[in-house]
Order: sequence, then C-alpha cells, then structure tokens
Amino acid sequence: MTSRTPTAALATRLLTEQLRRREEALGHALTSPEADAAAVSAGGPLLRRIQMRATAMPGADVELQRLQQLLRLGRALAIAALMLALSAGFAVAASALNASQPASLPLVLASLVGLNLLSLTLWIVLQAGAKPASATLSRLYRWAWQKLERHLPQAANTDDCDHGSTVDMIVSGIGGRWFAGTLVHALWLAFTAGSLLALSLLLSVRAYALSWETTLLAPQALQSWAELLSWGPALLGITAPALPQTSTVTDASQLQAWSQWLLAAVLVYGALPRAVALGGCAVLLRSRLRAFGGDVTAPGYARLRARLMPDHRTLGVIDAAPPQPPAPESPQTAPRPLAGVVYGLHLEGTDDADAPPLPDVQWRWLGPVDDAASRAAAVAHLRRDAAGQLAIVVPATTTPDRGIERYARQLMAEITGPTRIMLADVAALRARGAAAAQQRLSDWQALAQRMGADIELLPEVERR
Amino acid sequence: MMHAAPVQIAIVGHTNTGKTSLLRTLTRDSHLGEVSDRPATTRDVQGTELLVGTQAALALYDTPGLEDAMGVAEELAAQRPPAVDPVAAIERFVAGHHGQGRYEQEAKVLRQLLRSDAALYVIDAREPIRAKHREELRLLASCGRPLLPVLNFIAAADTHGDGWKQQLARLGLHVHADFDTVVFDHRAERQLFEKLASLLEVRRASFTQLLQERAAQRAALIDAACRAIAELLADAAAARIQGELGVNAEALKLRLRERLAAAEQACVDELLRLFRFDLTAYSPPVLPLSKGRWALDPMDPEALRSYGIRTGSAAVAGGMAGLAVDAFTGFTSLGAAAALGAGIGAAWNTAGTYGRPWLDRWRGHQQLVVDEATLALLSTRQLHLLRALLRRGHASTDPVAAPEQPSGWPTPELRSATVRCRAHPQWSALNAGADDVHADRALRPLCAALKAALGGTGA
Repeated sequence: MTSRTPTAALATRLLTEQLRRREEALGHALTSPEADAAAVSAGGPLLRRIQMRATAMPGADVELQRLQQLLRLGRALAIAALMLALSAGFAVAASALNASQPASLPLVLASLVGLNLLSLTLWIVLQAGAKPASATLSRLYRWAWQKLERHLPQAANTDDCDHGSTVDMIVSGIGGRWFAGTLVHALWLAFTAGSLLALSLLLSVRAYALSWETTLLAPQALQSWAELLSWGPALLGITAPALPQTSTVTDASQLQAWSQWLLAAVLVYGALPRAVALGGCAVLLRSRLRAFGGDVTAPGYARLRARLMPDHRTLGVIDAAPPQPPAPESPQTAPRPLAGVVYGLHLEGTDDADAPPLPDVQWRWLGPVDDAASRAAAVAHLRRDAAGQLAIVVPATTTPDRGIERYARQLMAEITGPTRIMLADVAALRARGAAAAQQRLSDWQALAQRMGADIELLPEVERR
Repeated sequence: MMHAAPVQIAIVGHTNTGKTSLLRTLTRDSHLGEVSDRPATTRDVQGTELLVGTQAALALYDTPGLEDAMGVAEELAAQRPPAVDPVAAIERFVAGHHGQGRYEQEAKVLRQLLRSDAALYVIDAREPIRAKHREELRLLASCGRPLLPVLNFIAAADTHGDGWKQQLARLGLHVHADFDTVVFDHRAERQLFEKLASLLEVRRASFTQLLQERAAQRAALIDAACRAIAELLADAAAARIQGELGVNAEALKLRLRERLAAAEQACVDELLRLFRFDLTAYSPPVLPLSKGRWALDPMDPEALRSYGIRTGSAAVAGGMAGLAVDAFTGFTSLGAAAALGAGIGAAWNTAGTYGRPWLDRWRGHQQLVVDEATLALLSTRQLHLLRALLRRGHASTDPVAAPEQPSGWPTPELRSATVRCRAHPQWSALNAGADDVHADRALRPLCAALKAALGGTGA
C-alpha cells in the first residue's frame, strides 16, 4: 500500500472486488478483527475503508502481488501486441510499395486502409447487439498467463488460485467491450502508424514510380474515383494533382504531390477513424474503470458499513455500580384474611381513589397519598391512632422502586398489626402483555416479601 | 467549527422508563447496556459517543434510574448549614455519603448531570405524572443544566402525554420531545437533536454535523436496501429453468420454487443485517415476519391472496403455458413501452428472447419462468418489510394496505422495471451460466423505481 502507482491502485481495487464477490457468494462477510481495525483507523469514506480492509485481510499481500503481476503481464502483452502491429503496418506498407513497379496508388491505399476500414465497420455493426469480444480476449490473456506463470518469480505457490475468474474480472469486469474496443483500436492505430512511417521513410529515400492504372474502367470512371478518394486529403489541405495522361506518373513535382496525397489519404482514412473510435472507447473505459468496484450499495460492501464506519463508540462504565447488598430473606407467610378495622391509603393515587369495597373490613380510609405533605400526614395519622392493620393500595403499573419501599417501611414502623399491599388496576398492566405483567407482579411480590408484608391483587370491580 | 470535546448529554429519568432503550435506539445498537421492564436494571453510568466520521460529536451517558427523589429532597433539606444555592446543595450531597449509601443511584445521576452539558429526562408517558416525578424534575433542575423531557411510549394506546405536557409547562419546561424508543421515527429523532441544539445554542455546530451524518447514513441505508431488493427482483424476473420435455413439470416447478424462496430469504437476511436488526433483542420491533422469515413462500397462492393479488392460474406456468404467459406479459408490457416510444430496443429484445425458447422447444426443452403475480408479490412484500424496518415496527400497527394496482404491483414503474428483466436471462444469478449478473443497467431502473415506490417513508 506504500506505492500508489496506477497499477497498484488498480490491483487494490481488483483485490477488493474479488473479496466482495467471494463474500457475496458466501452470504456473509469474513471475520478479521485486525483488518476491520486497520480500516477503521484509516478513516475516510467507506470505499477507502473497504479497500483498506481488503488489503489488511490475511493473505492479501500475496494475492495483491499476484494481481500486480497479472496486470503487468497484461500491460506487457498489450505493448508487445502494439509493437507487433506497428511492425506489421511497416511491413505491409513496404511490400505494397515494392510489390510492383510502378506502384499502383489505389492498390497501396487499399492494402493499407481497406481491411482496417472493413473491420472498423464490422466492429460498429457488432456493437448493436452481439456479445463483446472480451470472452476471446480473456481466453487469450488466461492462456498467456498459464504459459508465462512458471517463468515468473512467485512469492508463493498460488496454484489454488482461480486465474480464470481473476482474468475474467479484469477483462470483463473493467469495462468489457470498451476494454476490448480500446485495445483493438489501439492495435489498428499502431498498424496505421507503422505503415505511415514506412511510407514516409521509403518515399523519402527511394524513387518510386507511381501509377493510376486501369484495365476495366473507363478514363471518366477513373477520374471520378480519384476525385472521390481525394476528398480526404483535401481535408488536410492537400489537393490532388490532375490524373496523369499516361498511366504512370513521371514528372518529379507530380510524383511529390501524389506521394503527399497517399500519405494524407492513409492518415485520413486509416488513422483518423481509429483515433476517433479509440478516443470514444478510452473515455467510456475510463468512466467504467472509475466506477469499477466503487458502488458501495452493493450488498457485499453495504453490509460492511456498520463494521467499518461505526456511528458510535462505547466509552464503557464511567461510574461503576456499588456491590448489591444481599436481599434479606424473610419467610413468606400465607396472607391472612383482612377483617375488622383496617387503615388504608392509596399510594400514588388520584383524588377520586376510594377505599376498595371489601366485606368484613371497616375502613379507616386516609385517601390518596402522593406528595411529601400527604405522605407526612398519613404517617402522622397512623402514629396518632396507634393503628393496627394497614392496607396500601397502589396501581399495579407502578414500578416497585426504592422510593415506594422506603415510604412503605416508614408506614409499617407506625403500626402494630400486619400490612397488606393491594395492587389495583391490574387490567392496565395486563394490557401491556402477559410476560411484562407477570414480571411486574413478581417484582411486587419480591418487594412485599422483603418488607414482610402480604400482597393481593384487587378485583377489577373496585375501579369505577 | 466543531469543539474538540463532544457535547456531554446525560440520559436521566425515573427508574424503568426506557433510558437504556433510548440510548440503544439513538445508537442503533441493540447490545448496549441491559434492558428489562424492571426497576434498577441499569445501576452504573455507561458512556457512548455518537461519531461524525472518526470524531465524537455527542457523548451520551446512560444513568441508573431515579427511585427516591423525595428521600434525596429530605436529605438536602436536612443539610446543616443550608447551602447557599441549589447547585451547591447538590454538589455537597454528591460529595458526601448520600444517606449512608441509600441514595447511591441518585448520587450517580446527579454527579453525571453536573459533569454534563444537558440532560434528556426520559418519561414513561403511559404513567401519569406523580409527586415523585415533580420532585425528580425539581432535583434535576437544581443541577443548573438544561433539561429536555423526552416522552417515551408516546405511541402506546393509553398515554398521559397531554397531562405530562401541562405539568412540565407548569414546572417551567416548555420544550419537550416525543420519541418512542420502540416505534422509531427518524423525524422524531431529528426533532430531538434539534431541540437539544436549541437548548445548547453554542454547540449547535456539533448537532448540525451529527444530523447531516445521520441523514447521509440513512440515505446510504435506503440505497443499499433498494439495491438488495432490486437484485432479488432481477434474479427472479430473469430466472429460467430448463428441463427435458419428458421430465415432469412439477419437479421443475419445485426447483424454481425452492430457488426463488432461497433468493427471497437471502434478501430478507440482507435487509435485516443492513438494519442491524437483532431477532434475539429484548422486545424486538414487530415486523411482518415470523422469526426472520416470511411465513409463506412467494409461490404460495395463499401469500398472493394475503396481499390482494388476484391470479387465476397456478403461480408457475410450465412448459408451453410458461411461454404463453411469458410472451403475453412480455408483449403487453413491451407493447406499452413501444407505444410510449421506447421502440426499437424493446422490439429487438422481444425477438431476441422469444426466438430462443421456441428454438429450445424445437430442440426438445421446456422452460419455466416466474410469473408476474409472483414477481408482484416479491416486490410488494420486500417493500412492506423495508418500510417496517425504516419505521421499526410501526408498520405492524397499520393494516396491510390494499395494493393500488389490482395486479399487486406497488407502482407501474416498478412493474415495468421488473418485467423488463424477463427478457434478459443473463441478468439472473439463479440461472446457470448467466454472464451479466446484477448488471448496472438491470439494477439502476429497479433501484430508482423502488426508491420512488418507497416515497415519503425514506425521506
């Protein structure tokens, strides 16, 4: 990751893409806390972190090296092919010039440009629908890799790696047809450049006789052909000289004009269309290349977001809980039936909280108790009367917290008899779900047990 | 410009009102702290930072519940000599023995609040306001920090929300936020942060950045979810199963059915994973799923009926019928597209695609495709799930909306984007030898149509 040459950058992206495909096929992301940590500490946008993670995965360095080798091989193959095309163009031009004396101008032009234009037309037609030639291209590439692999210095034995899919990914993944198109156009451009080089070299250092000959055509037809073909060179400001009266051009100035015309024609008909096509393909390839492996909505990438771009970080415990004192055990006694004079109050009650109608009970009802004043008044009342039995009615939905426990104990300290906690409004609690209700009731039971009080659920008719 | 230190926010409230749940919802992390419907579940103070990039914008502190504010008030009143002001009284209480350790929890809350810039006071709106709550609010106000009451469980059936709001105003708390920790609503979350920002004007930049980050995260989440559904729809629509003519079509149907059900399950898993949905969480939000799966597989006629999708035929059309249905839907949809001027490309697709099945038949193959009603169900169901996930269970209280289209498609655009894929078997990962799986040009229109169908929920 130290060198950021284009090859290294591309290899990183290929490595990342490879990992994504593997993880998507697996259905889950691979686990590597070290790689995740490296990605998170690298920071930056998600894509950068994903790439960082891929390069920090175990075994990634070997794979990255292999990919770089593969890319370097691809580049070397492309350069070799370009050189080959260049020399082929040179050779074809030379042999076309030397094929006959005098050299036929239309024949030389046709041999240098004809096949080129034909294949370009074919390529354009094929763009409309047929499968891109990238399959053939990747087969060739794969073949070359297999041939050359054993001669390359390898960091590790990578026999188990699937070269096929890697090469497919490089060729078709990165822009498929535009990759193939760029390569093909570049090759033809090299071919044309080679032929232009040969033509200008040979026409500069040798004296050629040039001809405009026909066996079949009438002189008028030949004339119109020549005018038609001269349209291209005219674009470059080179006007065609008049056709020679005799078939062979002999006049020195005419010869010079016709050889300039030939060069211009090869340039316009051979190099120009290919250069335009190459430019177009290269632009499309570039945009595909830029987008390659950069779509973070792909499931394989999107599922990494939470891991690599955490939106929160825990700070842990700031203020630790004190050790919890063991709950004092007091034996649970069966609730005795409530009868006779009973002091009652509705804890956290509303103003209309009346005493629950219970047979055998003569209520001394203290009413609703909520704020500090009413709490203190209730305690004072119990103390004054030296009360016997006490019933604390409380809504079952209330959380049995320490505040309630402390106050209930305060009340219990003022009476001589048993205390009973009566849970009202159980229906409202049950409406929150059976499990929640059960939990809450058992918490109340635990509270009552801790305090040594009885507990009962009030029947629903009590609430009017 | 962001301050170096994050804004410190204490989450306080009476015991068992959902403080830890609020923290979990704000961090989208269902593993933070411990949650139960019992008093004093949280007994220590735990911190969590909300990040913008790698920098913390907000630090949230989950505190134990206040259980006995009245007792603390008594302790404060009994201080000798009396403190000069309320904050001094609180500071002295926190530094002391807090009632021989009886008020340890309350002391932790107050200590944390004194260290913080502001506090969120979480209220269980299902309970009426009591004297103990008023005492808590007075106690917290004595710390001299801005307090934002947060009404939790506000979406429950019987709440005392209005009573709370009245009483809060009487106590001088005129700004409050509705934020249900179970029924998550991203708008409510935004309002919560905006209200906090208005209480802490000097730190507004941090909140703005946090809100921007959250909006970007949500947009990315919706993009990723739409992409996952788009992949499913492309896979399903372009899926083809071939078999010898002699083979029982039922066996082929079963194969297609299994592949489709597996693909849908993979999509559901992906969505749940994207939303960090924890099936084992305490009180997981209600989704239209049971144990993370759809109860009925997508080719079950009952599943179609439950979404109001009418279909006369069996879900899979086999052999010749498959071809007929394929051609029928293909021609109706592509015909409409051609009429709208999408012309030559569509016609060419039709010729290119429907020639091959004929050729296969001539060679002695039969071919199955997924029919349109099933595709409609797949898209409707996944959108339903996505909406539920975006609102975390809110959808469960809504009845299943009757599809606007009798065909069951959420929108006509989604239908045409999906049906378009049928002509391209090379786009489906379910097809062996498919070479252009999840192509950009297949997924892009699908994602756009899904996002449009999602409408306001995603905004």
